[in-house]
Parts: sequence; C-alpha cells; structure tokens
Amino acid sequence: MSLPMANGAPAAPQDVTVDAELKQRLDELVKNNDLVLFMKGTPEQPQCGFSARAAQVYQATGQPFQAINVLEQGDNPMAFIRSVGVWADWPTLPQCWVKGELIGGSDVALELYESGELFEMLGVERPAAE
Amino acid sequence: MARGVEAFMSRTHVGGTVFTGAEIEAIVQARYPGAQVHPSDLTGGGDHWHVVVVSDAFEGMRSFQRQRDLMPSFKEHLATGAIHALDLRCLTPQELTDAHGGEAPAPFRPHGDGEGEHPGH
Repeated sequence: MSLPMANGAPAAPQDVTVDAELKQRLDELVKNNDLVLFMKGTPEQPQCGFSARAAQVYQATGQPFQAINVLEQGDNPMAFIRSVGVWADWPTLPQCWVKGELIGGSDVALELYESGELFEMLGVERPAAE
Repeated sequence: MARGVEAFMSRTHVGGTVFTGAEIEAIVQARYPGAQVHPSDLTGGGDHWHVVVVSDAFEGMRSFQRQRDLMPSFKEHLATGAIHALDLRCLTPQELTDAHGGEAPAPFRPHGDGEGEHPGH
C-alpha cells in the first residue's frame, strides 16, 4: 500500500474517516461477540504469521469466535484495512478483541492466554489438556 | 549501494528513505529517551520490523498500553507503507532479565524460518 505523496508529504492518517454505517457494523460486531479477530486470511488458511498465531490462540480457548478476513471484505481490502485501523485507532493487524475491548495483537493475545487472564476476561475455564 | 538494489527498495514505498535500525532506534528514543532499542529487520527490506524496547518508563504499564504509547510514533510510516509490519516488544529492564536472561528476545518470524509459530521466548 502506498499513498500518493505530494512534495514528500504523505496523506495524513487523520484525513481518513470511517464510513458511519461501517463503524456501526464494527461497533456491533465487537459488542455482540465475546471474541472477535480481524486477521489476514482465515483461521484455516491464514495469510500472515501474526494472524496465524492469533487464530491459534483464539482456537485454543475452546470458545466460539468471529474471524474477520480483512482481505475478503468487498473489493478494496486496503480501504477496509485502513478503515479498521482508524476505527480501532490501532494501525496493525491482527486485531484481537475480547468482550468489546481491543486487547492488542497476537503477541498480547498469546501472553494473556498463557497467563490465564484471557480466560478470566471471558469468564470461562481453560479447556482441560488432552 | 548498487543502483539495482535501490530500485528494488524503492518499490516498497514511494520516495523517502529506507528504514534502518538506527532510524527505528531514533524514533523510539524520541519517545523514550534513554531506552535500549533492539531492532530486527525481518526481511532485509527495511519495511518489516521486530523492535525490542527496554525502558524503566514501562513500569506499571500493561503490555498493550506500552505499545499504544509507542505506536503513534510510527503511525505515519505505517500509513505510507514505508513500514509494512511492526512488532513492538516493550519490556522493563527487570522483565528482560527475568524472562530472557538479559538478552533481547529473538523476533517472532511470521514468514517462517523453520521455527514454527511460537515466539522466540
């Protein structure tokens, strides 16, 4: 992705606003689902190692989760990715949402999974080891 | 640097400089003066970075809050595509000692080098 640069000045991130309808959809998505993951690709076929790691963590919780493949949202993935970044005020992917809160990327998700805090946030038990 | 390499690098972003570890370090230290910064260029192309930042300033801050605090310094470069991927690992000196024996943790390499999906630490 490269934005046009005039006189070496890039288009500023604050020039981008989120479409109201999209914002509402995103707000509702994270409000109505305990676990939401914005990722590149799908949990079955991740397109990025960081997204793969996040999906693995979410799968390991044993809880249902919504995985949004940012590459497959309409015909302009870069615009969607940019919108999600502006909406969340967080520029990188994956985005890991737990109970309506952005907890961070895949490294933080893994940290919270390993410490058990992720399960505390969800109010569920860690699945028994097999 | 050979002309051919410059031309290759200029494909990853429009104009501007290719990021070096020194530039990454400068950006971080502008936000956290005195921080130890360990940047790793994950692909050699100057646009995929794993950065370990060690600073007392992180004391009492949760992991994501530390990243939230530092990320705005990179927002413009991410928006232009000069930096395509940025993995920030923010530690206090004590955490570095406790978890990693004082060595900067190895970068998680999402593009694979046989290490699998687990982070280096």
